[in-house]
Amino acid sequence: VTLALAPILGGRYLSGPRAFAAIVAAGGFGASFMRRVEAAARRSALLYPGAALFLLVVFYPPLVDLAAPRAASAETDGGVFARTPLRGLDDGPPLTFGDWLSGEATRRMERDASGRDVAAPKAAFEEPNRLYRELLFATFDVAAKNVVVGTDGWLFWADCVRGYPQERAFLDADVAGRVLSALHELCVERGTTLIVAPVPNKETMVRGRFAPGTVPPGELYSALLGAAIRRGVPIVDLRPALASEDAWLKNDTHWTGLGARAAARRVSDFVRAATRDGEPPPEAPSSFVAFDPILRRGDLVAMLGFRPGGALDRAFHVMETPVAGYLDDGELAASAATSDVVLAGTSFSAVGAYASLIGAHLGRRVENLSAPGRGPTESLVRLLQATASGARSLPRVLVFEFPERSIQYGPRAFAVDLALALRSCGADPDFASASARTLATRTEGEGAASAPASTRGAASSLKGAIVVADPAGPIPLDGSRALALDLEAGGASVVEARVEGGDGILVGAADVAAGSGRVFVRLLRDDLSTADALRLTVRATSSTPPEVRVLSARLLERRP
Amino acid sequence: VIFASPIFLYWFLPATLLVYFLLPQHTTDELDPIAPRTWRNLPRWLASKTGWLTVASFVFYAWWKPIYVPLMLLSGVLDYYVGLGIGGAKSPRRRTALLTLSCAANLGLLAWFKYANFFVDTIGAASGPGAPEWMKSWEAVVLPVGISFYTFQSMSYTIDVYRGELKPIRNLGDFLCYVALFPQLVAGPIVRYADVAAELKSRTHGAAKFATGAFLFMTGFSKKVLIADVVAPSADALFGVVGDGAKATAALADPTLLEAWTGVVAYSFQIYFDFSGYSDMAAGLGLILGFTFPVNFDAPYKSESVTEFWRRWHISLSTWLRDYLYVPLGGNRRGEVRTYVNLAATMLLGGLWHGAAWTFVAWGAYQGFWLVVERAAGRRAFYSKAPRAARVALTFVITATGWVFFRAQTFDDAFRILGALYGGGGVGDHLYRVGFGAGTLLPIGLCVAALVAFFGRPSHEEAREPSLASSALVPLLFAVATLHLFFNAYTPFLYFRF
Repeated sequence: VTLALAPILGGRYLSGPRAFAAIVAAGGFGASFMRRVEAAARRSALLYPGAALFLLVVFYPPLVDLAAPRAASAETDGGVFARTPLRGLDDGPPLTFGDWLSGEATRRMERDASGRDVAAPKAAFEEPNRLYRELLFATFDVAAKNVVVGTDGWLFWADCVRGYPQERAFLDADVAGRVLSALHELCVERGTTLIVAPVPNKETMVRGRFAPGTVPPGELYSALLGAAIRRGVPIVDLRPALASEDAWLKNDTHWTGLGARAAARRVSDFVRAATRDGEPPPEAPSSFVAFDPILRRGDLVAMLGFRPGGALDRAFHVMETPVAGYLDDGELAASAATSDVVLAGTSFSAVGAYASLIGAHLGRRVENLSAPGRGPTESLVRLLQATASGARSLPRVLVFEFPERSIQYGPRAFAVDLALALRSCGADPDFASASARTLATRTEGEGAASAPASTRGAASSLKGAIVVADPAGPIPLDGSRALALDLEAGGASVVEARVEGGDGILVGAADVAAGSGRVFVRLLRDDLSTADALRLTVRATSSTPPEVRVLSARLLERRP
Repeated sequence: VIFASPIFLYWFLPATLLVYFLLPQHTTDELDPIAPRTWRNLPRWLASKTGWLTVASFVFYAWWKPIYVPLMLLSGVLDYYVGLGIGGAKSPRRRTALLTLSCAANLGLLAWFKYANFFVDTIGAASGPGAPEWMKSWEAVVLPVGISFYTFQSMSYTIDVYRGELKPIRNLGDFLCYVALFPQLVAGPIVRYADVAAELKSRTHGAAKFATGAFLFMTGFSKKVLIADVVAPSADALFGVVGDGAKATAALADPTLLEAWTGVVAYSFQIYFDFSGYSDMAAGLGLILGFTFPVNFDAPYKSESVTEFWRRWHISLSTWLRDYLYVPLGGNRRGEVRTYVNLAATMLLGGLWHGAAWTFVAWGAYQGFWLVVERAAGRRAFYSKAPRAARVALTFVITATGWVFFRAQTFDDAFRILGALYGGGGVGDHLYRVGFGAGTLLPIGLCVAALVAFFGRPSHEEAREPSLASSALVPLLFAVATLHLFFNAYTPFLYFRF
């Protein structure tokens, strides 16, 4: 081993053949010394110190971990690690007997839902682990798995460099495109101008800073643009604005103030064109301010996992000049008291001055809903939920920012929450740009009389329903059709709409917000049969039955 | 549970050892639930070292999917009573019937859980659209961990009792302890009952045994974490990874000569250090608990012929196959041709034992082919005059080529990689696609792997007669390996930081 490592270590820390010779000689002396000790010692006794170390390594960490206060452990791990295996059992829905049989319970003791280890006794490993990372990096340039070290101190996020099957780019982009299309249709319907402004990956923009052999994928952003444009979704290609290295932080996955400013300019141009608000005013220098440079640690440096503030950690800190935009009093007065431009985004929008920079370009205040660390669509989802419940309405202009990388984690990361939120507003990604036909409705018996939810399952005892029929013929129940109902449901807090076929078997259900709103029910039965007419009933969770009126019923047919 | 995981290393192992060494020695009372009144011995047995070890082993096995515990229990209990039955039977027909029952049950379990999918897939693929309806709606059977090992083990017991080589045991608890013994449960070695019969009754523990066991465990752990896991990415890049969703990758579509050899050599080292590392860990844990397991790997890559390789590789399996398959088939006592047929059949079945796929069968056939060739060539083997280094190198090349079938996911992949190995894909001028590049331990991992595999002493010898260097180095490497285990796992997670 000495001989194998000598050229590597020798070349790194010492120089010349003398260093090599010194290492080999040291190895030789060491070997002769060892032979003497071996001759003198009883062989099995040589193993005792090792056995002691074994006991130490195996018994010490769990003891320290059990003794460490829970709070300290939660703090260092961001609260995601259970401190003992048993803690993991509480993580998630209550366990059933079946979970114990299937191994779900034991899996939870070992790993959390996203596959992270929860059984490792972290408290004892905190410091040794940081030192080991520093040692590996200092000796072999090996960094943590989720960071790729580029040239000249550039760091990149490994997920965006490798490990993403390229053939999936178009699939993921297409799923995202469908959801964006539904969002766009909703916005058009509500008179909102939607601007989708995805932020490209730093890894695809700063291509010249990788070690040889590393080729980050680059198709996803184009695929996303294509998927959106094909569906008529207004989307801004931010790559020209962010092509310069100045736009990106060397040690962070996010953009610099300069990058945010360039992106803001491009987005606001797009907004102005889309809303036909006229020519942009000349950019007044007073509209932007550059602050003193500050030292920035960077999220990628944190991921390297060195000792915070240690020499290796500090080597990656960079100076950054923050930039902000502001509106003078005149412009502020000119813009409406409540903003009609809303920015819903992620940490890109939340942490820097992106919103104020867009505001300065547009000459009006921008309301920023973005929150860092909450997932790519959370801020938009909250806006949509507020719209669905009637708490607020969609703004005149909605700018939706999300990073390209959020698409590559598949539908769970990007599309699912957004699709659900859209559905609560009466838009459905599956039925975006579907053909629609208005249906005839008639009231049967006592109308869609409802029962409290405590009698769940007693729908058949209801004495009436609203019957929806398609004059053109039977309605297929194979999932290709959906019922879009505009309901007025007063008098109850949360209600559920249930749609049954003629034989009384459920073919779809959806939650309805109190008041009036759009309900979207997909029509699907296991046997994919058809129905001549559909019976609609609405039930409430409160004891007071809601008053239900159907304002309109439309049958949506998905395009093949 | 796998050994190289925090849950095993820091929770299961210390808890098991702590209780184990606090409990009194084993009692030799009978514990046969059918015999009158022996159930009274149960509490005493449960509170003994062996009782605790049995409980711990079942917890160890249940960790993965508790629902499969009854299978192991079934196999164990059945073979226990079959053993008793054979021991007490007077007529040879009854003895044979009982043995047939045991073999049928164990092989039946194996056939259903390991080979049913394979059978359905093969027939289904062969009959195309005309396949029967039940095959089209076939839901894959889950393979219970360790079933290949424990069925073989408990079968060896009944066969040995039938042959009169063993007296049947009269303690169901001890027998279940043998079947479930956690150190060797999931990945071998295949411990035969005869190997541990005496130690099940009474065994000694001591500082020297513990220290040697700890040394072996630490050696195996380091081999697994610091070598096998380090070189694995190269093999994964070449052969692709089976997995769900984003983790799955395809094999390289157009490997070059350099890439193919790098990936194949990396896999040769990965499988050796992974498998022998597990065997070392098993032997080490066994020794700590007072059991002596058979040696499973004896520096196989130092072999000078394929025949020798099979005497040094996964020894517990090859001797099992020899004693329970090759010899009953007639071995080498029925003439030249029959010997070759027996050899080939044994290797084919050995291949199939490793995994239920035609690629494994092909691997078995390939190994069988070389065994037959070497046997036919006898001492006049065409390479017998070559210097030793050349013979070792040639054997390694033959074995490494064989691993292509073992690791490839499909025959298409296998033949493409084989083509590249022997020049069909151009030489190539870089290794980036097989994991080389900046910031990787791969080159060092491969160098160390080669040094240890070709020049190192086998770990069981080193444990018996340790050098100062190894006795100092191995614990250090173990400490490093525990840190390395966390190196990639212990990273602040960024998904929710968009």
